[in-house]
Amino acid sequence: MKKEVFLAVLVGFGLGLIITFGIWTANKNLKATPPGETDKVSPTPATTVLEDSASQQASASAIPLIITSPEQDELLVNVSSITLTGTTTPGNTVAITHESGQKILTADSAGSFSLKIDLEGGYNRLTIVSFDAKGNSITKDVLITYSTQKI
Amino acid sequence: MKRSALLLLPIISSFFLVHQVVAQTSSESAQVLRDSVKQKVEEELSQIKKAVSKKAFLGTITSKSEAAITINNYRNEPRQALVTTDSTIKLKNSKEGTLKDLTAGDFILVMGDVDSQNVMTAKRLLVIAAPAEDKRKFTFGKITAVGSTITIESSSKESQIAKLSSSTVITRLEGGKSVKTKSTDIKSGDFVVAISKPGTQFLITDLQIVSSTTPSPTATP
Repeated sequence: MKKEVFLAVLVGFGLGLIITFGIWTANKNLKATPPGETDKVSPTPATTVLEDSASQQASASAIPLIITSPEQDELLVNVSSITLTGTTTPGNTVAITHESGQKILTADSAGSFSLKIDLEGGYNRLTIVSFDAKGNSITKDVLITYSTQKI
Repeated sequence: MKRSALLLLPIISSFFLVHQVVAQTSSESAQVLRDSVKQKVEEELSQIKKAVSKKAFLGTITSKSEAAITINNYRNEPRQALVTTDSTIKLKNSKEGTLKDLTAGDFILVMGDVDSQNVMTAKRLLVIAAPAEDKRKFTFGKITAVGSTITIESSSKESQIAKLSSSTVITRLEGGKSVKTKSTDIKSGDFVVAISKPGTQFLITDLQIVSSTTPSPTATP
């Protein structure tokens, strides 16, 4: 009897091992990447960076200036104000002109800056200049149009 | 009874062994599936967002075909807009017009939906006067003279003489922040960033003292 029990346990263990191996093999095959897949470059995050304008005057030191909002240039909006946000070198002086005014700000320790801008009806040209302590500068232009018409 | 118990024993043994593996596999498969669906949805949303962006092009018409116009935008970059029968065209005299009324050289503001190629389907097209050039000036330099006017000398030794007004916003860079200050705090030798607008003489609208020759007072015990 003892022999039969031992045999039954052994058979059960063997059966379990076979099924486990089968599942493990199937799982491994499913996970395997197709040839060439590893060479593909994953898409970059959807952070939009406005392209440098022709009027940019980046100095030799290449000061970074990224406008994070508005996300795109030549944007059409139906709201009367926007918040212009961006990043540059921490501590840089950021001068901004828009249709209805201008402002000088200082980028914080993370390099971030932001300014609420009231938009004029129609096109609004925004110019953002970032100056470092030595007077090197970079300029970016953004066009944003405000219209209440249904487009 | 004993025989049936013996038959059940291998089945129960194998069940325990397989159970853990199956549970782990199904949870991993579900996660992979969720990630895959999430990525696909994000890609589709990004495409839709790109495809239906509402934009406005500002510039001069450089060429015109039967159903499209090409504009040289404010950065001298070409932009294309498709004009359909649904497009509203407003001429300079505020009268409604058609594509035939538009000519090369017209300055326009055209609004509509752009596709992923940045080609616009025009919804509303306005013929407007070309905007006046923004003549406001950004200056970085050293204050070389302070009086009824101030003189700012740039690193290239160019001097700009400008005046301040009661509405000039003057700030000082202190502790990494812009702090409001008075015009009397502007000293010769200070480095400043200024925005000025032209007139009979440049008028400074905003000025920030970036670095000062006079050390800021320190607290003494």
